[in-house]
Amino acid sequence: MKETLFHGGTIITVDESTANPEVVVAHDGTIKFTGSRSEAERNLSGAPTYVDLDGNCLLPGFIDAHSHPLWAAKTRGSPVVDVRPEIVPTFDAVLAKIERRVAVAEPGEYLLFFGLDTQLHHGFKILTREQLDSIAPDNPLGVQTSNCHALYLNSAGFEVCGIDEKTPTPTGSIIERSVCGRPTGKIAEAITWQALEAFYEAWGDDRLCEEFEKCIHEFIRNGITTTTEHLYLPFYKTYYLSALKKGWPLPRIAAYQQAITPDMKVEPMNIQNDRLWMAGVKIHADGSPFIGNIWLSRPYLENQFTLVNMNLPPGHTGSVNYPEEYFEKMVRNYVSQGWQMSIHTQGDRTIDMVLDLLDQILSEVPRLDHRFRLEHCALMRDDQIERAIRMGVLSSFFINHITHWGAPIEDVLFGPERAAHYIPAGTAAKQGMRISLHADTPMTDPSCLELMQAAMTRRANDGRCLGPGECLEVETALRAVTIDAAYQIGKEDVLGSISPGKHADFVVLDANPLQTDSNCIRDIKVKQTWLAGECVWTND
Amino acid sequence: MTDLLNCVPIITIGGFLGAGKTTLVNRILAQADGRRIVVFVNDFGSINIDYDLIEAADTDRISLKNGCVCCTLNDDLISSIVTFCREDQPDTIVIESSGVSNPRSLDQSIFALQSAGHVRLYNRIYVLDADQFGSLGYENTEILIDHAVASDLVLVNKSDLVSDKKLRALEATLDRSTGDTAVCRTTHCDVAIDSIFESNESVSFSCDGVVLADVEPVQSHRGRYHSWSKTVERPLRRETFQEFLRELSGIALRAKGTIVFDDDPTHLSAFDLVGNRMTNRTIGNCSPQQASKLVVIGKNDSMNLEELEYRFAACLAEGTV
Repeated sequence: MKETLFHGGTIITVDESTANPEVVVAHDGTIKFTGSRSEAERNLSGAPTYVDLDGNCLLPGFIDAHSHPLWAAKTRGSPVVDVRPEIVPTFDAVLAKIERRVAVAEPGEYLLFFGLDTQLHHGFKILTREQLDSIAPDNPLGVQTSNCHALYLNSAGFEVCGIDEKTPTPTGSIIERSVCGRPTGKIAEAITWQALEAFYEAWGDDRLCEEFEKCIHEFIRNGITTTTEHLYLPFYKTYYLSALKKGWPLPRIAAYQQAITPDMKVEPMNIQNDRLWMAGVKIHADGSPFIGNIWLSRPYLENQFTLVNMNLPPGHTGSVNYPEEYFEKMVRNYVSQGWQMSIHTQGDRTIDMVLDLLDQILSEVPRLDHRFRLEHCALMRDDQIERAIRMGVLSSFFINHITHWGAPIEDVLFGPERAAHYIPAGTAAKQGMRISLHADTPMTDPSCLELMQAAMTRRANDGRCLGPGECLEVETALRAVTIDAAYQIGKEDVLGSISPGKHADFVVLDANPLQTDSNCIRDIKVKQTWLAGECVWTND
Repeated sequence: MTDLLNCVPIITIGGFLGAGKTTLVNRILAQADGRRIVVFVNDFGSINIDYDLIEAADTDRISLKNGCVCCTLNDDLISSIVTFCREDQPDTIVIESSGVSNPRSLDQSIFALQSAGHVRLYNRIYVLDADQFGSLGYENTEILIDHAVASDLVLVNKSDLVSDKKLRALEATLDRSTGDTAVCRTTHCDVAIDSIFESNESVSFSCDGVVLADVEPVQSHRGRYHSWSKTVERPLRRETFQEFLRELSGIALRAKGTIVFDDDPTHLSAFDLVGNRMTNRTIGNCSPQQASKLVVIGKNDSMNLEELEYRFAACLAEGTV
């Protein structure tokens, strides 16, 4: 029986009933006691291991409520070349980097680049198949956008992905074509992720396992002890089981299986006491605000960026991914199986459509504790927040849109009025919704401290604040990456706070986030990460 | 709120192994013109040769060795800077990072210090070895370019060693790849200090104006590079050691050190090996007890440490003290 007693630091339990304890005792991976040291020592079953927090701060392990650890390993792990604007500042620099990589490529070598950004790559121009062919005539080559939703391919790329003039466009996907039907370079949504598998398969499993291990480490070193695999597919299970078997410090994973058709089998599972379980089903109702495929009640702004760089028509209000009847069929099928639905929604008209459908389904077959989730919620309106709360629908906010793309959101996509309520986490929290925050890795890097700071300050990278009225209080931000995130993944009984009976998952920070300047939260250092009572990472 | 202009300005100096960072630091110190400049010298190896070569008072040169300021030594760097700012504030702080450090990680630490009101990031200089550029292979060349992007001023150093054609091609690559970064040709980092202290005035000192990059999930560089260090209190045989260095030039990215030879035990020599290029110079008198020190850095897949140890042992002079 392994017993550990934590003492000597500030302990933030995120549980009012156990607030400000002097010590915490973990026993065989479970929290056994919180309270005074004297009482703890009276009830010890043996000689515990004492962990002196040395003035640091102990909190429940962080929970990122929407992420893709395995998919991130595929998408961004080597040999994918990182061309995100933080690394490669201009569109021409991206082309130069691609050209340098092609110059040293083996004949036929598969080449992928991640991070092309319509909004942030200065001088952006739409990539064409011919342009990529001229750069790389002999190698399958793909350039994925930083929002993950779109991919540009050369001819060899189309060939290895099996996409040509005769390929029908799958429901829910986009293949841009010439008048005679020939793919012109860009594909988007579900077919993007299917096409990329051709590249990942060519690179083999060893590469994936190596990158997966690195990705797991990245979550753990940021104190994230639980996250999700949104877009989980059944064949992912092998990699997760392998990670557990190898003893990697895999965060607990709530799997949300990707729904592309209404008839996919979803396997109920809970492996090794909440290390990997099937939490629900993920469906894309719409796409990305950065490529224009979200459904809006008011159009995009009209300017060089939207009309030329994004190639949107004037008055563009976008659309949903699937025909409404098809989408309804999918949702009804998975709801009828009892799954929690996690629905990707960005535009307000999409949210109207989804809430209408869920309202209808729930009126026909009431379900008290469904915890249906709306993901990202970029342009959710106040009336929709009220309605969602009435229905018991929850929002998980992709707050890093503000930090990474805040300037173009305000200046070129939606204007100041909509930017001030873009990702309306503050309104949702004030109205009483139990919200969560997420980094949507691989889109942005995993760090719950960065999420908290982003939600508390709403500062874009250029320093501007988008909508001070939507900023979160620190307590709410902390709950959104601990207990309220646990609630959204259906595990608030065993995760999200330091409470007796819950899993002993902790993060040790070198400063108390409740007493740190909101502009410095992300600078707090993670000293240790504990998972199921074991120290799985330390920065010493 | 703290007025940033009253905070201690920080100049960071990055660059690959052997690019000329220490030379630049000494250039800056030589032109300090009464400014008190504190220099943090980071060496990836366990012996900080660069520290010995920095021409500043001992109290104003701080050695951070056996790790990297962007990762393993980050806490040491931050606490040391905070102490200086609180107790003995200099006019300027210069950080010479190790040859393998990631400048974006270092930026994040300095922005954190800036948020706390201790310092302001003043200028990020990247020293690039024009002669070495292009001969390091694809991956290392891409790292150089990626790091150059994260700077305000790139010095294309050792420009006297390459043809004008190669220089123009290098500058065209930088111009296409780095966006707004200024590029300047130098020989022995002969840049006027005014261009360092003034070149960045137009750039916002606030971190608000800088896009913070997500940092690679790298905890240290130990997995990629080997560092082998040695201190010996016996003189070395000159010819054997020269042979040792010639062999090293094929496998090490960088080697440097201060050596006492048995044929001239009262003088200390410094050597510097970058790729295939080596320089030697006598740097002063020394006592017979003076130790020889050297550091070798190379990629872990091409440098065999046991082999190095064995070959170096053969350089030690017999029966001498």
